[in-house]
Amino acid sequence: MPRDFVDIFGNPWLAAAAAIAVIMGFLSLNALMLIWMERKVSARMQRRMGPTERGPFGLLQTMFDMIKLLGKELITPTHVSRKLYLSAPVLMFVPIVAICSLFPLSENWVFHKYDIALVLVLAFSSMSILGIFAAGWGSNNKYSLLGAIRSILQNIAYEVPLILAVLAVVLVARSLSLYEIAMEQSPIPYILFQPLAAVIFFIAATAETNRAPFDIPEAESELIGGFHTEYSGMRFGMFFFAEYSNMVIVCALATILFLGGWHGPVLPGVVWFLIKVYALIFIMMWFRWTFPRLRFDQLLKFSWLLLVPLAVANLLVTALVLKLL
Amino acid sequence: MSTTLLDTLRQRVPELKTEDNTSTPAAGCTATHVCTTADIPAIAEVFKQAGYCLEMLTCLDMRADGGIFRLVYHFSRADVPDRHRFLADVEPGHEPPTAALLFESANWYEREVYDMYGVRFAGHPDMTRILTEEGADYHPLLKDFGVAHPTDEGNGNA
Amino acid sequence: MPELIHVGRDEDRDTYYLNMGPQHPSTHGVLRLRLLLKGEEILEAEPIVGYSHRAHEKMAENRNYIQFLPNTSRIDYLSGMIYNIGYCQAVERILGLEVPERAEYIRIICCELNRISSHLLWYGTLLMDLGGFTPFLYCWDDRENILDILDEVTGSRLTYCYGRFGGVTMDVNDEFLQNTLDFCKRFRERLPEYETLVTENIIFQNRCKDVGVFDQELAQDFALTGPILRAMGHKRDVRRDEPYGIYDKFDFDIPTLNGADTFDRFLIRVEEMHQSLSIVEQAVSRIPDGPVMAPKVPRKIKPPKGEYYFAVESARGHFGMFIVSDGTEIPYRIHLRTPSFANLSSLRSVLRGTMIADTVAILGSIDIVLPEIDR
Repeated sequence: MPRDFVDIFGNPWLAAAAAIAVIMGFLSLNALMLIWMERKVSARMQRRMGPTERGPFGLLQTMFDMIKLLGKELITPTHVSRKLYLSAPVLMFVPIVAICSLFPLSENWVFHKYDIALVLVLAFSSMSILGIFAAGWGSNNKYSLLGAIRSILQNIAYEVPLILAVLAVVLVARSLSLYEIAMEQSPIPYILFQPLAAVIFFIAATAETNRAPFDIPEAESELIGGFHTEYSGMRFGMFFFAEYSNMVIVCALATILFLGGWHGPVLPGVVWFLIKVYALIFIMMWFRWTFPRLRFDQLLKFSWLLLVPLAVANLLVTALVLKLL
Repeated sequence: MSTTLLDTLRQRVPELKTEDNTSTPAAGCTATHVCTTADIPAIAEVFKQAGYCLEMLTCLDMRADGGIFRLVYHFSRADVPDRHRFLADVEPGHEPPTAALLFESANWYEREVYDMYGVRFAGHPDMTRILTEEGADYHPLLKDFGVAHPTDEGNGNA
Repeated sequence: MPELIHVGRDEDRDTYYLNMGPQHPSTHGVLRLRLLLKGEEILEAEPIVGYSHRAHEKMAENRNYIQFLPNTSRIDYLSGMIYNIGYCQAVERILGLEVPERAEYIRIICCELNRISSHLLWYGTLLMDLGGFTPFLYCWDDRENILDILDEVTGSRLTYCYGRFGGVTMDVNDEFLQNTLDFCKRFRERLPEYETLVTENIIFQNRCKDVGVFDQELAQDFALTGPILRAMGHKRDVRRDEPYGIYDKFDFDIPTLNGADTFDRFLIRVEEMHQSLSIVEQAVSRIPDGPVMAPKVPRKIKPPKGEYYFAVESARGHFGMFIVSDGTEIPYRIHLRTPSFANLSSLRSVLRGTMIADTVAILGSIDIVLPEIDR
């Protein structure tokens, strides 16, 4: 396997095109897989069977659903702001592809080694909020707008503890490169040095992806889907797709930052990496099918009054200990 | 049945005709009183002060039998079982005084009576239809409703 | 860019109206709430009902007493058995009909099972409104058991027409009693599971505690009944206050709490399920043999002229039937005093000053059934 796409293709444009193709292929497969997994996990937790009919263990069910979504009429309500409404699903998706290109999957499976990959990941992941807001505002629907407003407040509130938790890791690793950070954890993963940061990161990441119990921007029982209320067919499918892709991204980031990336005995690095990512995703699903939803103000209080002070304290202690050592 | 309550009632409404129902369980109340609609605010006040709630309010279309509508009020307590029924006759076109200023529950009950029978209550904060559609021109529980417009093939509507 | 938001009041550009329903996942049917909001805070809330008005009271005036029987379980489709049998009991009391003891026991078993199934549905939907989907399916699982048991004996799963004037249509067999006992045993084992999954969950408690507190005067003002009233500290239950059937022969508690918030209303209903289970178990253990229909039921039901009132405790509160007879076979008037109607009208007072997310919690904890309100 090549070490770097740019080295292989020579031409950076060609490398980028190839990378996008690979990433899109992976993300599509991944979304199909994850939706199936979510159905099975939820079903098992609720004493149900989940999909069984199409393919072995119902594996192909999601594909058929996707085909159904593709076949549906794309309705553009007359009262929407067309530019925003139509661009929102795309806006949701661009940062996701960009982020994916930054992850090292193993020592050799890297698109390109950036020294500041971590900063880029955080920057791009903040961009996905643009898509949500474009959808909420452009839909010209009060429920959508409420969802979008909630989403922005939530993202601001949870980005702060998330970055503070990441900074603690950066201090330990003395690097902003995802590749370097993962390499640093060869014998011992950082979760053992930074357990608090890991927990804060994971909670904040769950909130960032709008997953239950932090799914208040969507909140189907209050806001009827929130920002994607007015979307139908494959446009809705894109939001769905983005949600599951975001899950992979935050879980991959958590794997690299805290769980030692691709390091593990016997099995090849990529396999270890994917095992860790999907284990984390399983935990996220576990959350969703166990907890009720927080209320909006409780959610903000939880972040500003608990997570942020904890993360700051953790960062200070880390810095102090590193200085003394 | 508390005697003090009845005494206060008689003081406020001297011409009240009371029938004791304690021996007839099927009636489902301690006493039935016949009053005029003008007495309703005074009666409501007495019951409000005694800690009763307005459990039910409905209307009967007695136009074929005396040319009147008959309002039925049920007052009952929130702690001890005790129910008083008041029957008050209303001439068609006449507006009885509302009880909604004393009992919030009367708000919807009276709207329902208006909706179903067209009996308007004077002083009601929001005398609009509640169950049928806005701007409907009928009152479905009137005995002559449905007679002139048979909608079911002879079965449903009389 | 099209004009985005319709502003509620001209003088205050920060407020706007939000229409919740009639098609909304959390309004439990076709309830419409018109909310005047400032941000997420509710300034005014107006419930608008009537979307499923089917004129049951008009239908009652167009058919005889027996023909009205199937209508009763369609008024509140979740406690249809209680309504159906309650109507039978109302007419029996007017006629002075004696019901055989076995039939009385069967009625109690069926009504209490129905109450549990109604509470289970409420439990599941409340949790679903709060974003917890798993408890909903837990409840559905247990509720399914009850529906199966009742289906076996009544022939329907939801809109039962099991009662007859003077008894019930069909006798139950030992299998029914055994299934009922099995259900009780299983459900008693399941209830602690519910507790760890839901009641002890900190997020759930935060969503419910001190949310939607009913002021004490609301009880009198709005004639509240049922679990809401009991969560306010009033020990009021028609089964105990004005005993009907043979409820006075059973040993059960009327749970009360004093907090009057959403969490208390939740706890009250959970405790009521425990009590109903105990009533069912007592009834199954003591059920006598014998006929299930009174021997002499008049072919033509002609209650004497007069006004009658009969109340039962439905899963939601005080359900009263005001029956006026003019001495003929056809009722002159049947007014249905449904608990949800009065309970829902209090929503306007309770919602003021809360947030949108609380709306669904409070509405869920009031436990309304729209067809019962609209009739």
